[in-house]
Amino acid sequence: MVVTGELPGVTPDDVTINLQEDVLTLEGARRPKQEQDVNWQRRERAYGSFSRAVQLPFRVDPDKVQARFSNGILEIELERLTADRPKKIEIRAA
Amino acid sequence: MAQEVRTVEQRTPQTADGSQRPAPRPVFLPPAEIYETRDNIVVLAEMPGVAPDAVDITLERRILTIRGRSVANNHAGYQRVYNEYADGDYERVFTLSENIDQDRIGATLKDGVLHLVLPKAETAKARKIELKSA
Repeated sequence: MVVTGELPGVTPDDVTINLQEDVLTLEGARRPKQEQDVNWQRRERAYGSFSRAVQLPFRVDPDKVQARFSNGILEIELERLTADRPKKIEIRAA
Repeated sequence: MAQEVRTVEQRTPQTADGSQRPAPRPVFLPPAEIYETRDNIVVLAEMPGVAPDAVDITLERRILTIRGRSVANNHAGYQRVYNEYADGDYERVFTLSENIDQDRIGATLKDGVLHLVLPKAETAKARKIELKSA
């Protein structure tokens, strides 16, 4: 499965991705550039730290996770744990 | 103070000559920051999903128009299970508070944030107009 998030203005160093069984946690912070001697006319962007935990529908293999960051969008590709795949159970005629 | 001309979000945004865009995509207002230094006006606009070659910036007199087309995120073979934000284009129009020197405008797009540096124009020398008493 793929999880995508919009994180404009954040560099990959500012974000931590944690994976524990079936919970994916994204944490990070966005710091403003300190500007000297400016006259602010409009300020709409939010700054500060953020954190989000997502419950995945199945357990994921932590060795097969891929995370890509492009144009402000973070994409995390996760693969289901093979042991977690549904197993077919045969019914034996008694 | 920079004034904002509000763009109404429409399902099918009209282009200038009245024709309609073929594929209706939502158009969002990117959150922006505008500040003024001694020599420049700096505009920062958040447009995640927009590549540097998909941005359109036009400045006519004091009206600045920013347009960004985002890449359609079609994950082939996947089924969408949960959606919190929509894929869409970005557009915003501002009326700037100063005249700008158009030849020296600098624009960069990094991590989905457009950074526009607009140098203020040298004010034309004021001409003193004499009043002759009749």
